Amino acid sequence: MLLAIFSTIYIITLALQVFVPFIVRETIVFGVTVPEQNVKHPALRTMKKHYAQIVGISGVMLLMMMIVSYYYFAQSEFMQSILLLGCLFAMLAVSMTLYWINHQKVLKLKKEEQWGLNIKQVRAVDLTARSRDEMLPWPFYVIPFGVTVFLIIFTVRHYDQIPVHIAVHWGPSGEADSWRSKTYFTAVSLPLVMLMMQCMMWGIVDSIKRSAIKLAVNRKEESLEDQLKSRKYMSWSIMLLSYAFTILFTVLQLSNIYPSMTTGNSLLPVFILFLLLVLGSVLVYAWKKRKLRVNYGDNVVSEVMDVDEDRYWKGGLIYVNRQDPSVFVEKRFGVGWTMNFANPRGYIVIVLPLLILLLISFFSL
Amino acid sequence: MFIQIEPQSDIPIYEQVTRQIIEGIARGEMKPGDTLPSVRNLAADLGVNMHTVNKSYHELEEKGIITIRAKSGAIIRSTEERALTPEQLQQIEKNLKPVVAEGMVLGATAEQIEYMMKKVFADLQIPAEGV
Repeated sequence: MLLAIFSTIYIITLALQVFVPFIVRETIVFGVTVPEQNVKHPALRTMKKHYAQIVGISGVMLLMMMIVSYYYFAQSEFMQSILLLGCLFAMLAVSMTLYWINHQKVLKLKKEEQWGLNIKQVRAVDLTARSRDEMLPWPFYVIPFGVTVFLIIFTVRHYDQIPVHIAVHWGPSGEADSWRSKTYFTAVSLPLVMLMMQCMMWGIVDSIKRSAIKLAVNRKEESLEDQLKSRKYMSWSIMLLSYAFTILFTVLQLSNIYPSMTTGNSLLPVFILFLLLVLGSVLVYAWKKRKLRVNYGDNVVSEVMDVDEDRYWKGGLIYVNRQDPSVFVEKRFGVGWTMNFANPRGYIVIVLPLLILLLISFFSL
Repeated sequence: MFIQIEPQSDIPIYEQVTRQIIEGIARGEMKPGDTLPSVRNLAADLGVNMHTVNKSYHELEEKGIITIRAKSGAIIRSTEERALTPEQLQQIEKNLKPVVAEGMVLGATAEQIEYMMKKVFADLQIPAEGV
């Protein structure tokens, strides 16, 4: 069971790693801005192809190694987890190394051939874009708070009924494997963690909503479509994630109050459903991004290009820009969004709930 | 309606924003009663500080082109609301002076300058082609 779940996660992660260069904007190649005037340079295509081939082949080899050694060498559960995680990280290490090599290559090529050196950089904005933004409004993310509050009240009212030991950790197959003795705090710690997760998701969506709708200056209409749809789908998947968390945690909390719920492996389907939902929404988002991607048939002939923001991207991966009021920007190499590390708002939205979450776990678990 | 900002230009960003919004209204891409995006949103989309956009909006308000309302945001005034006052006309003349003077110094005739004015006027009346 553990192997099957883990292999699924592994394969999906691998697929995303392989296809990332073909999902992200064509004007960002391995984290480097390539002017639309040079976007069809033959070397870029080759680099992306080689990256995908090497990551794909080594990923599949690692997976086979993982499965074989799982059956022959890993006897204890501890060894098994080490092996599975080790293989996943090894695969990620391979793809990161290749990313890094290619990142340097593109940088060098860009410098040598002086891409975009004499092209005017402009930033385009559609003044009507905001009125066409279709991100879900905030009540969608606040409704789950009600469930949490209800759950806390319910727990307190049924406090006497709860067994002396409360499950606080569950193994991959849905069985509780760690318990604490009952106090009012440990009894409501699970709903509190849930509340923090809900706050975080609401904060993320709210910040994405306030972040820039960025257009490609030579492909305004297409890129606007891409941006509006990406924002919409992102808000949907975060809502889905928030609801999935809410359901999962509610079931876990109820199983603490009514231990008879956990007989056998009855929690397993809930875990699997949750996992499928999370992985599924990532895959759907990646698929949509691929379809929305602005297509360049050929190099663009134009006197302007988008603003080259390479200097704000450390290693092409980490975004640090004091001037930009946006908290979240789309990743340059990967699926999804990343934080502007120079914007204090981001720390409030992400780090603060995470810190509280850790504190709760630390004191109750 | 699209606007384009050149961050590296010598012209300050707030002025680029002001000019392009005015041009958009002149072209009829933005109609009286249309709302401009909120200061916060436009600043995010442009990737600039909120003060920059604020400055531009206040300039537009001073010129009598938009009305800023606390709740509903910046609204483009109707033609009746922005009826030309003698002071505004004077301001336009003042702004035109250095341009015409430069033309004179370089040897442009009154006819040439007049022709240019008419050409700019006509250009703005043609709706912008789809980008």
